Amino acid sequence: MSGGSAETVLPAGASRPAPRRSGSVALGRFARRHPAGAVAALVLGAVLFASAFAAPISPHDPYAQDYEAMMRAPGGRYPLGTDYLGRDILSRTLYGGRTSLLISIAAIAAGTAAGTVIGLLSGFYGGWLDGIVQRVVDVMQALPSIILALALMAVLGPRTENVVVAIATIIVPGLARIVRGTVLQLREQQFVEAARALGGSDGRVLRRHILPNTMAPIIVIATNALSGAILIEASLGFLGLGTQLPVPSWGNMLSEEARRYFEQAPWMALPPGIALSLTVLAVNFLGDALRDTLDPRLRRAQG
Amino acid sequence: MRQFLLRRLILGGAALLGLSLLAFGLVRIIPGDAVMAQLAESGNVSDLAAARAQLGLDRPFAVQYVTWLGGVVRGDLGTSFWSKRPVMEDLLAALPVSVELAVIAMLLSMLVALPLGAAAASHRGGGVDLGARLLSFGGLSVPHFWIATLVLLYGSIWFRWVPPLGYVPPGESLTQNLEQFMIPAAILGLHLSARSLRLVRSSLLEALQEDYIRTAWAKGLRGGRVLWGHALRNALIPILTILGGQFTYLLSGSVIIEDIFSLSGIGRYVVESITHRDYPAVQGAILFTGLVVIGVNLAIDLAYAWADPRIRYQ
Amino acid sequence: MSRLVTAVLAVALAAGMLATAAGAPAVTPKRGGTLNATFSSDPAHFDPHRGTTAQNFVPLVYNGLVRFKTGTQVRVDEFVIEPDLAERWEISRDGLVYTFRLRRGVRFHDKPPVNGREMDSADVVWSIQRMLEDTPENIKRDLFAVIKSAEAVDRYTVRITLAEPFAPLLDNLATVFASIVPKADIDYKQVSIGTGPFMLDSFTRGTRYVYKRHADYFERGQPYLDEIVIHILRDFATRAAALRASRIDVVDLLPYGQALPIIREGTLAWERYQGIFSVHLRLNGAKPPLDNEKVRQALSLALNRQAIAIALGGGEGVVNGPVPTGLGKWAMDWRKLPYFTRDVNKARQILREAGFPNGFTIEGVGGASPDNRRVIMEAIKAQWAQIGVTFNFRLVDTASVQRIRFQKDFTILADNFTLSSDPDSYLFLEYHSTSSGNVGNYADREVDRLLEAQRRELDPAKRVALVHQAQALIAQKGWIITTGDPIYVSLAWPYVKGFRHNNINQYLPLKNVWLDK
Repeated sequence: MSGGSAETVLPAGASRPAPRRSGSVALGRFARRHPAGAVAALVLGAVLFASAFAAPISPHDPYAQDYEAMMRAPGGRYPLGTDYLGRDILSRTLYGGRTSLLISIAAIAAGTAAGTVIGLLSGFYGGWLDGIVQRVVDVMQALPSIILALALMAVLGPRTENVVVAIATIIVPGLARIVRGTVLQLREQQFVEAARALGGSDGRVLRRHILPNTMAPIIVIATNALSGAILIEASLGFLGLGTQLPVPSWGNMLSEEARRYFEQAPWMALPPGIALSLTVLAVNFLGDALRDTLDPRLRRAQG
Repeated sequence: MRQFLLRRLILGGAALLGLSLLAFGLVRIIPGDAVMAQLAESGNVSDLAAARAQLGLDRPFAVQYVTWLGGVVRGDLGTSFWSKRPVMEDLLAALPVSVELAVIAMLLSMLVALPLGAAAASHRGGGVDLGARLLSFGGLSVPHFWIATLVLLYGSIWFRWVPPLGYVPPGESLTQNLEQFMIPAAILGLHLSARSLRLVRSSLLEALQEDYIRTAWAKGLRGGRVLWGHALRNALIPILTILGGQFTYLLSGSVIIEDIFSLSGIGRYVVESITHRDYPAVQGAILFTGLVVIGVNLAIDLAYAWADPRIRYQ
Repeated sequence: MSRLVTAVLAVALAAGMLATAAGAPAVTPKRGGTLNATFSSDPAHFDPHRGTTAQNFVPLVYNGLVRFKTGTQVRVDEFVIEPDLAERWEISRDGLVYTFRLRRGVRFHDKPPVNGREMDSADVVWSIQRMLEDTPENIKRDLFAVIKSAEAVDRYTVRITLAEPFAPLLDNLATVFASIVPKADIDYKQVSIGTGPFMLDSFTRGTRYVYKRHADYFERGQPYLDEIVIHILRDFATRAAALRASRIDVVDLLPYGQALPIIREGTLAWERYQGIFSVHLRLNGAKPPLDNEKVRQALSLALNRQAIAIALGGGEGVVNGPVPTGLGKWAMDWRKLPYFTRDVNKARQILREAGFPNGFTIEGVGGASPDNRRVIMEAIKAQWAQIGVTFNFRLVDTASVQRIRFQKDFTILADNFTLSSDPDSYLFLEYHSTSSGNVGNYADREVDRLLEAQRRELDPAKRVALVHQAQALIAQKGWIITTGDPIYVSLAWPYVKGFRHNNINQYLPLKNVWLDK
């Protein structure tokens, strides 16, 4: 019986620990095979760079309010214009990217880690632990993720760190289920049985033999989830529950005021909107390329 | 088969019970309680305890839960704290809106995903492949509220047109109903199509590698027939599963689209009820959504059997 | 930018005013048609005496003893009391007894169980008793708490006796919270039966409320419209778009900056006016360092209120003292209020004197909606930073704000006032040491004395002086930091005639509206 995880990429063909290859060779091959993926990686790199070095790049303090220049059109002192309080849009977009990416990446890292551990243990040990985990996952998957995120934000209160918790929580169940499915298959594989027969402790078998073989689907799913996370951060911002102002994030820069004044001052919404969409687009393309590369069944198809 | 059904029903029931407990507990730990939310802007609260008692909130948690659950079993989801209307009635009014939005969005997304996914799979790595992905990823990458705002704004400026306001049931006026749902469903559909397209593409690619497809090729069948007749049917299973997931997502996850296009579906209802700390409404809506989702997933499992005769449930 | 805006505005203003002037009374109104209007959220229920969510829907269905005069000849910032269900009234010399003479032949809507019977003094007394009921849901009780008794003298006469003279009484009786409901065994939350110009015909929650003309309405010839449909449109961008696409005919309370592009198109008639919401921060007078008057004064002095008001309105705003400018004669020119004109150096100096040469860090909280709370908090954070004060704020949802307000669990709270046409609710309710609405622990004997005096003073001129005196003193205390309001705009298609916004009873003016198409 197949569970609720059609996107699951089960490395059915992978019957032993993945062989290591030289990094640069692999990268070169990746770029040749997936030009779109390579471009996406470059775009993403640029975005990450701009976000990481937001402080030196920004022409202005993103919090500084210039009341002589409220909602000013791009040009002159403010290359991308200013917002309703006279703050520089370019600087806020750069800092906003930092916030949005930090939140999304932190949430995905936390959610992936938790989901992986839960999935590994649940799949490896089975029994009552598995039963409980699966029922909890059932419950959580019966709820649309945005509703769960909203309820969590209401419970935790709108703080930036809570956005991370909420997004992390909603990706855990799906991930745990997929990892569990992979582990269930691996558990029966000869090399795992061999490792156990040779007296490998549970921890060692999990770490050395099972985890590495679940990495491919985890990476693919985490990349997918990352694009979702950036959008959820923005959606929570739309609903007024996201990152706390005045800290800029792409999400809150796109919320009420930007939409309210879109016609009069499109420069308030366009830069964060375009930056966000471009980033998500790049993550998706990269995810797609990674999936083709890491999914052994498709690799076979590639030949 | 019967045993499988029974097992799924029991598991579904267990999930619902868990969901009921989760919903019941969750609303009660949200800071700011129902009584406070009702008092609007005045500080004039002479007897807060009385107000709580009036809503039955003074009783122990377990008693409240069991009382509520007892009602649920009898098909009574309770009365809204906020509007004093039966929760079931409001949910049944919201359901058609959400379901119609979800179904049209899924149809539209399949309309995009199937042909484009098939084209992308048969011209792998070519221009069609890239173009299809660019289109669908584009839909996936731009936030809903962003596209929706632009469509409304420029629709109203350039064409002096926005979709009709408020839900019009198809029975009342089918054209108005469709005029109303087309744009929001298209925005959601475009978003969904990215995932479906990718899945159609990879499932087809995979299916095309299977031995029976190679046999079909070898038998001299033409490309189109192989693709549509054999490969696609095989690719149907993962597509069905993703449809189930999409339905869950759309049922109340399209809250932002509902907001902007003024469609009062289930998502809207949940969000508003959370704002009002309307416990019975939140609990009812979550449980109701869960019931629909579990039902749909069960239906999908059954559909597998139809789509793939190799699957026999034990 | 703002200078340019003003220039464009001057031209556009003239155009907009002309458009409305063309619809002025000289023309005979036409009967019939449907008006499509909009509101942002559902009422929780329809009971006018319980809660505020039905506020906007109530005046279509109900009348009060008295009401605010509405129509294109009334300015938005003046509140003139005129007869409604009471034809006339007498006030005893000591200001304690009000005798209302009711209009005869006024009929309720023809719906069971009331079935169009005549409204009389029993209904009025019944309604007043409901207004005075001490239940948690009766959140506007303070407006009427001074009423000691209400009795029916005869079928068409009602006598109301007060515990003490109370100048705001008539204004309070003109609010929707003093609506006259039929004396009957009905659930006022679910059924809407009144004497008003329109009858609730049908509604779908979250979607639309349909009102039909009340054929037996007592004002001859009114209302002009056959039907009003109020569409629930949560999203402000949707409201503007729907107006442009003429799915709706009229929109109220659009911040100036958002309305500007539509105004510039020149196809819609429009009017600008100021709101009376008065966006503000409450400082908790019991929490250090805010218990120190000097600290509060420094915080007030450091603010650039004009910039905040302009930001709120997206280009145009108005600064408010303790009583909002939109209340006309009751308000004071903010430039004359102490500590209202920005002076950063002096603010720093006062802060030094108060023992905070390096400033301090302080926590604030406020509702995430309406969005103007966010704007003032962002602006104030930046402005206070200049005197060394770090203002950390967080935004919570409405229900959390209620809890915080109720438990007085805040240092600084961005909040809203109870809307009123009378200054009393902006003053007595907020600052009197015994008031239930005083959530910031404010207590000052002189302020108390002035606030009591102004509500007892029945001579308007003398009362204005007292109200101004109280405001100056309150500004001095720096308890609640008022900033301002956006300039708001109403927009309507030119065929909509006779409409002018009313800040208290938003839909009351719809009875004057007619369609010229």
